[in-house]
Amino acid sequence: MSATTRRPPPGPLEYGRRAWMRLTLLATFVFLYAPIATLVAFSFNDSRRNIVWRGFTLKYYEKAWNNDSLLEAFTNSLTIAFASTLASTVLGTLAAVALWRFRFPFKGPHEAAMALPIVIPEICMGVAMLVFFARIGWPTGLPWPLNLGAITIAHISFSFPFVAVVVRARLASFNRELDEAARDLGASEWQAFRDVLVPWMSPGLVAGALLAFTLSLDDFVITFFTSGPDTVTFPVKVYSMVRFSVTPEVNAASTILIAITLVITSVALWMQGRTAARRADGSGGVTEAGSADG
Amino acid sequence: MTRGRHGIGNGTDRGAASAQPIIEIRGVTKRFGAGEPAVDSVDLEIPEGELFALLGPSGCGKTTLLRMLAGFETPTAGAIRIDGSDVAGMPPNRRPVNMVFQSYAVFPHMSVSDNVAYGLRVTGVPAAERRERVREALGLVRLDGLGARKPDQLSGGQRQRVALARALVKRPRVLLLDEPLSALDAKLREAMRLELVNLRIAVGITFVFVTHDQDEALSMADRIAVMERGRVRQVAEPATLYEYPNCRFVADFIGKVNLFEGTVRAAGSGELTLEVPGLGALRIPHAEPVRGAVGVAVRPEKVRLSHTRPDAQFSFEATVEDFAYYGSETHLFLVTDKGLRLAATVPNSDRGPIRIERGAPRFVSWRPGDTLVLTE
Ligand SMILES: Nc1ncnc2c1ncn2[C@@H]1O[C@H](COP(=O)(O)OP(=O)(O)OP(=O)(O)O)[C@@H](O)[C@H]1O
Ligand SMILES: [Mg+2]
Repeated sequence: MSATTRRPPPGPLEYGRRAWMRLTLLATFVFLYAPIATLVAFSFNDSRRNIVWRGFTLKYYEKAWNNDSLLEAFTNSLTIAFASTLASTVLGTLAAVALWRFRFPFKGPHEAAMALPIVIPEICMGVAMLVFFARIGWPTGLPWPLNLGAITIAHISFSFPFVAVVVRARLASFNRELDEAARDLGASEWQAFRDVLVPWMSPGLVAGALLAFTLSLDDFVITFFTSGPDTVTFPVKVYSMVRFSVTPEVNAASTILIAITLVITSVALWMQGRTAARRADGSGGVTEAGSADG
Repeated sequence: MTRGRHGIGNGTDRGAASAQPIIEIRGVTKRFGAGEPAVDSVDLEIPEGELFALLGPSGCGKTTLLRMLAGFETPTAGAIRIDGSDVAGMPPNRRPVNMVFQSYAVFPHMSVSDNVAYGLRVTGVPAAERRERVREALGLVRLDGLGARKPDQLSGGQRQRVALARALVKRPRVLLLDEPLSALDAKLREAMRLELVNLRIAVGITFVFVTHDQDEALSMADRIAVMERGRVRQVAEPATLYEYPNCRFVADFIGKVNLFEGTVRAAGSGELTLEVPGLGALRIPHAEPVRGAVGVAVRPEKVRLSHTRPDAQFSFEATVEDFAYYGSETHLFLVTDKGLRLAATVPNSDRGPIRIERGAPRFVSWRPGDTLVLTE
């Protein structure tokens, strides 16, 4: 190449070739991931303090594993997350379907009221939950896992609107004639729902459930107001630990939490991708005999 | 045009089967909220085995009427009987009719054969019989070998065949089709018209289809109901509808027409004397003695043009204002010296050059019997 050959100027969509664009991108990634990377890195640091690197170790993972109260909080968090994900996915889906399917008086206000927990400040929700459970005299001191009831209910109440919103968005693009076609071909309302509407909603269901799961797993504010001394969740426990000092033990526990979230998200995405691929691939072994009785 | 295929005389061979109509619609009205009803006191009888068309402009209530037959809408008033029994309150899945939707509504997540099998599966038809009937239905619509495909791997025409097979596999007494051809391109639409007619003959059941395309209705249907703003204006065989419309709306909606306003001067002994401003007096054969103001109409292809004064009962002079060449025919727009406008269609039966000039004089005439007298 001679010195006179100049590269053509960047095209309108070649963002990667503009210096300021690269800088912005780099800055974004740094802001997003530097704290997380630091957290993960220092969980392997052989030092009591999170300041200088002293060499690799796994002892804080061991320590976290042997910390019974941390483990208990962790178990609580996962239990609550699974229960509230299940309940809020079902509730949110039903709410979305009802709002999409039927005409009824005050439908607009209903819809707005349902989205309220999304916009109400968490602190207010937390206080409201605290007052509510105290007012109705919610029993305390129940055996595990019943003692997690109050927190689970609180989690359901703030995460099911998210599911409803996501599922509702998916339903907006549903061709109602598909449902009518199923009914016309002899399906009962339930069969049409199961065979046509649910498959259509499934990407929304997965996305909504994921959202509910992560919302529940990392909620601190509302949980803080509804948890008692024997119902500590992971975020609440971490908070109480860092009030003394941020030890690598906390880093280790947090890293595990990040790993779990990543694994669950990947599995969900992979499952979704697999259904999409199967859908696109007509010869994917889905024959009349194979799937009709499914 | 294949208009001649279903002549007026076609009615006789159906007479035998019409002991009881398969569909009876009695005074059916449907209102959505206040305002004009979408369907307004419709009465229809459709005999078994007919290919029946609901024809009308957009928004006239065709789809609503079809949906009431399928069970997706409930009539505000009136009764619908299918195969002799009142279907009021009967849900769509229990009615002996099946529908082909305008969007085809092929289930996107199921293969072609799963789509076709669906109606059998939900009603508990055993797997072996199901496979046999699915194979048969796919053969009927010439989709053999495509059973494993997904809907997004099919063309629009193939998706429509899936929708047809899926409905026919249920062996309904009546097949309802909402604008079955409107989503196809012009060439395919022509081909599918014939195919649908042949399919109807092959399966021998009643087809009721909705269309806003008059050519489609005329070329396919045994009988047509023309609707306007929720009401049925005329029910007749295609040729009757075209040649003997009963009102200005039908005359204007089906095909092209020259429509004038005139008055009856004298009536009697099977003849009418009409007075049309700009044309003068017309004496025409007409059975009913009508009086007063009437619409006087003539189809453009019935209008004859000549360079010399024709030997006809009545004729008048006009000049060519404009013309349009359509390949098979040429449309001429004429204006009389009194300013009356009228259109004529002449077939281009020779290959020779078109010798029409704007401003050229012509003599216009038509057979008195070709004049339409419209009281409504
Ligand atoms: N679910 C509904 N709610 C309110 N109005 C409706 C509903 N369905 C139809 N209509 C009204 O009823 C009238 C007839 O509608 P319909 O769909 O039957 O017309 P159409 O003849 O099928 O027209 P097109 O040829 O455009 O499909 C229209 O004015 C329409 O706005
Ligand atoms: Mg319609």
